[in-house]
Amino acid sequence: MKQNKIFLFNRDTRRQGGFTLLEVVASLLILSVVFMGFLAGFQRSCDKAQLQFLRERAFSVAQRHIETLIASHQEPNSVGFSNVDELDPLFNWQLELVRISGDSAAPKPDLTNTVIKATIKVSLADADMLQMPPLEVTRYFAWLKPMPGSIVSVPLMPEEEPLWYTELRAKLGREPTVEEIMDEMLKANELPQDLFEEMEEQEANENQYNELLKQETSR
Amino acid sequence: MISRNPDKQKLRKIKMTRRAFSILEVLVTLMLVAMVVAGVLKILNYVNDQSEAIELGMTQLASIEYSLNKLIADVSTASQGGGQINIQQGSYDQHETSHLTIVIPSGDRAAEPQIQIEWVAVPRYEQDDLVLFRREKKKNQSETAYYIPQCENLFSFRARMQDANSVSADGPALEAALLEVRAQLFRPGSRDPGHVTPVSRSCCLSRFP
Repeated sequence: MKQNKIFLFNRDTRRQGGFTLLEVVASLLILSVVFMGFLAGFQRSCDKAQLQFLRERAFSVAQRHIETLIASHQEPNSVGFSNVDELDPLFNWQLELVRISGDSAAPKPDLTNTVIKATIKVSLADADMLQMPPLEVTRYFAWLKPMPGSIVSVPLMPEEEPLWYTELRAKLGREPTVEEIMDEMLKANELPQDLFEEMEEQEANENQYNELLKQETSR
Repeated sequence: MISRNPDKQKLRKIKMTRRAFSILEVLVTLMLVAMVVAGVLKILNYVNDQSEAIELGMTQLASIEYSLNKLIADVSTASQGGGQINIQQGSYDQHETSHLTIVIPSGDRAAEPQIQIEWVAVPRYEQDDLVLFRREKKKNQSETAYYIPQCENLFSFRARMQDANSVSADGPALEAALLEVRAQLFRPGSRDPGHVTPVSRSCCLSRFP
């Protein structure tokens, strides 16, 4: 029994070895990486909380300007379209007024089937402070009083045609056909992916149908 | 004196040859460990302080926003029933404040008496901030109606009613009355009027019949 105890003691002391420098450095590196990850996570959650805080303030700014527009029912002059907020100078606000068709039909000449879409965009005045996407609040108005000297408020703007369409028309010397427009849209990558896939499928079906038709007629 | 027991001799030999840390090694290790632990604790303390400040700030902001939403709800109720809104302006030292009195007339049924709701911000005793109170009193109420604190830590509380046909702060003439409520909230742990968080609510009374 005594022999056994001595043997155990002997083994523990003789074989006792410390960590090598490499082991210590590696463990420190791992620890620091874990700790940095923890700190980065905390920083991100702080930024998110700060962002939420700012978004609530931005919403307050947008809501105030929309309410002023509701109370005045007046199309603002050029000064009233964008500014630094007077109560919360941390934010810039921008008003966009667009007249749009209220239904799928084309706008009537008296614009009775159109509405005015008012969008307030609020963004941080100092863009370097935090990456906050602009907050948008939209409200539709049936009418707004026009500016002095104008007959209609927020006139209907003609839809701007894309550059490729103008170039295509100039190249052809006439209005392009639907197929030519589709081809050009494909080239300009302006055709939505789902529409493109639908067209391809339709073309494949047509080819298959033509093949079958050809086979039937040859018989 | 040499022991005659061979086991004891062996044990002594082992003890003498065992390698131990020197006092310098121990001290340096202790110092390094203490430094690392202190650094980690400092960082954790900073993280904790930041979390607490964010939580407090969010709670205070939520508190004032909830109060202002409640105020707008009171105004909405009064406007729908043809009520009255009376605003008195005041100030305590550098704190601007307002006293809103909202009267909601009695309904068609006798069971709905006239209600008077008051919103006022007043300073706390020996504290450099305002506390927003609300009191709701029914006309035939016999017991005392108490002012109930809604939120604290305010630098200012200002309500302003812009009547119809007046010129709004932003320029255009107003077609309908516009109620603007503005409050400024101190940042957590600060009493600096230069660093306050503005909170506002606007309410156009034309939206109520």
